[in-house]
Amino acid sequence: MGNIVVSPHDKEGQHHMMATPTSNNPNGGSAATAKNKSEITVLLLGAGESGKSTLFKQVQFFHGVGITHDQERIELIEIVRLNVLENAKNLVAATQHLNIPIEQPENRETAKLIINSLNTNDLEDPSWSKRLYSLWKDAGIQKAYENREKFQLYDSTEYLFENLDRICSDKYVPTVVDVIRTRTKTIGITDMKFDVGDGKQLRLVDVGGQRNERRKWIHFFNTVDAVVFLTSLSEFDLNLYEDNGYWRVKESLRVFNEVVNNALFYKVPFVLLFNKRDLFEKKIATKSFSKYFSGFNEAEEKNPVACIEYMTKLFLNEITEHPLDTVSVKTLSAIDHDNSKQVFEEVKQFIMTQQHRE
Amino acid sequence: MPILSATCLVLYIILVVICAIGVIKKRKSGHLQSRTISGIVVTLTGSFIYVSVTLLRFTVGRSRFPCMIFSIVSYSIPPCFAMPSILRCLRLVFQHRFNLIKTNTLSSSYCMQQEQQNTESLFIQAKQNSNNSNNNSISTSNRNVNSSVMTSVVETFENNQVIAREENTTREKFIIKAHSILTNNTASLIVFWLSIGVQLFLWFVLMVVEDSFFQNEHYFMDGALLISLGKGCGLGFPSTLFVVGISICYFIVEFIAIGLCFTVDNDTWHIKREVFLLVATQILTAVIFTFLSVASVVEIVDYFVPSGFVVAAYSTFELVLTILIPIIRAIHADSKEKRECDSEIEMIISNKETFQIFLDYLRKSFCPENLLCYADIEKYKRETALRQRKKIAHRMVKKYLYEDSPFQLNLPSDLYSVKTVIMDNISFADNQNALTDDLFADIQLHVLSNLVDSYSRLKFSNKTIQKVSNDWNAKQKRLSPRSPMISLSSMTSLKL
Repeated sequence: MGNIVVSPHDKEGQHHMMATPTSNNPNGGSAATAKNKSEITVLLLGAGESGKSTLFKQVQFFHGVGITHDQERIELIEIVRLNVLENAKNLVAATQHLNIPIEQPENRETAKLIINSLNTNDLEDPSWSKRLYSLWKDAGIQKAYENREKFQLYDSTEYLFENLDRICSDKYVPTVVDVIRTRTKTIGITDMKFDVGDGKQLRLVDVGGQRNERRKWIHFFNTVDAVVFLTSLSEFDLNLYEDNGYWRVKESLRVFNEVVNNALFYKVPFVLLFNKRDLFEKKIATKSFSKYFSGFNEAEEKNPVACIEYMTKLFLNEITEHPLDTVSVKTLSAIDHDNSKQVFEEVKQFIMTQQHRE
Repeated sequence: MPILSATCLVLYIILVVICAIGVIKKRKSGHLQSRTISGIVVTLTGSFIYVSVTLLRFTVGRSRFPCMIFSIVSYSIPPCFAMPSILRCLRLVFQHRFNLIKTNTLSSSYCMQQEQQNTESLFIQAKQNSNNSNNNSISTSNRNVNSSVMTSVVETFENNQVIAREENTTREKFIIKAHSILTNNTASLIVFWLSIGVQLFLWFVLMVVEDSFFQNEHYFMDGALLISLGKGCGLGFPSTLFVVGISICYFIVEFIAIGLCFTVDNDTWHIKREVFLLVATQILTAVIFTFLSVASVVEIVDYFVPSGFVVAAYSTFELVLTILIPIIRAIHADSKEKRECDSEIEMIISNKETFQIFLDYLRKSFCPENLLCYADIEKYKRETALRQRKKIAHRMVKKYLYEDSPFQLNLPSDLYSVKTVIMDNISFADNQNALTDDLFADIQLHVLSNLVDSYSRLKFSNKTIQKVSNDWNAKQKRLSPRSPMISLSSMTSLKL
């Protein structure tokens, strides 16, 4: 079926960047292999923007796939620049929406160009680096950015604006961090396989998280050997991308409830990952956590450990069916390479031991 | 008089040549395909035989034009006129019924797209099979069409029982069969030429009869024998009776076929409209023709407006309506399509081969809805008739924006609220408030950006796409400024 088995010493070096979908036969292929356990299928699940694809990209990267090569990252220039433009557009739109004027006249000019005519290829011109950065530093834009919980904005905004001098150049080659940081909304389902030793293969399945995408998950539920459920710690002040009147935490809890109590997963090891720990710690320093959770002790709201403990309880309370001893809870910062590697290693170990026990 | 006729003849021949070239050039276009090439050829030949001979006769002079050619053409008038219309109506009716069956079959396996594809391909296979078996039966004998239809229907469907759902009734099978005959080029050409052949045979019999018994009486034609080449003639009373009689038979068949057309929905290619317009003109022609025939007792009227001219005019109108206008539409549609693509993804989508590769990849990744929606939006933009636009737009909103639809798109929440705006636009659309091309502009832009993720993955895994992408980028580099993967500049409004 043209699956790409990923190993660090792939000679082709060209076409293995992303795995081809093996999903045209989700039930047939791995049902047989599930018996002899030479292939372990791990699902990355979670609501939209919980970091599934970021973790997916990290796993690809530390298995030496794809974005380790310069010429493959070059192909992603467009996507990085598209992110820059979308961020800029969203911020400019937010100033209109929130009625915050952009203060400097020349920045208003830039904003107009961004909305009307700017394309990713224009960013080859280094002069855009200064113009976009000046726009970013505009008091109006900064004020909108401070209120970013009121509209949809990517987590990568600040990072990308701070790196404009590299991005706006005709010699730009995205770094690994750039690629990890860029947001691309995953549509549908993708997967990849790689060797994990002992003649075993791990098949990691990445999915889209928005409501309409979740309907497609069911295709994979039968063949699964472990579930990694991601939820974002920093979403406590945000609403959904697909439904702006709906609190993200509520949605995450709901999805978690549906997944963890699904009869198909009773016997499957389950990992709950609290992602975006880095962002979360920054956020609670300036924002009130207890404002969103009435049951939380206000005095503890600047203590990340207490907050995470509270969130953990909130999620574990949702578990009514799944045996608790096969559930593992961890925190993660998926944009951090070392942390991802360590957490993923732990997850892998947990899944393997659970399977041994069986 | 001869000068006027000669001028008309030249103009007419120019029209025929233009039509013929147009048909050959645009034969792949939907506007012509839906009318089938054979249908067009039948109309063209029928019209050409009659009009060229009539005009030539007026040019040369009625008393000098060989009576044999005139009588042969006069005798084959009925099928020349009626057959193209009859075939056109029947084809329309059966195409409609056939597609009804097809959509019913497919909608039962709507969600399972793989299944859907299989059914579809099996259907095509079945169609081809029946076409083949049909060719043989038709070429052996035309008279047995109906019986052979039934037997080969049974055969074909026994071979393809997989697709024949349990509820596939005999009626459905008949429709599928009839559809495949009517859309088969060879079959309809054979039917047409056979009907003319019958007329020629009748002429031949009468000619032999006349030659043996009435040699000196010019019984069938006025002023000459059926066979005479040197002298001109007019239609004699027995011949008029004969031609009118046969015509009535053909018209009865034609009216039955037209009656069936009333049950058909309006089609994308305006065939139904065309059929009814033609019928109206045909009736009008018949009225004027009868009037002139009566009036032509007064020789002077016939001298200025020969009744043959009226029929020739109708025939020319038919050519313009059923061939020239579709050709013009096809050319117009093609020029619209060939506009420069703004971005790489649009280029990939606009090319048929890469579109299929992309769609196939998306299907395997469980997200074909984005590309399907993009294609539907393009279809919507190509449609010009308001009623069709409304229908398409309404279907699209239901299919792609409703929360319970399996094809619901992944859009930010503000675009879901656009749904209400679009629905309002659709329901209030009338002649004053047209449905604009940019009704789905925001949706289309988002669909494109949704495709970016899948497209960049496809590019890494598919050699063909890689090659097309590289070629295109190389070409774009030469024309600066280079075009991006997707173009954001088409964003019409800002929303949050």
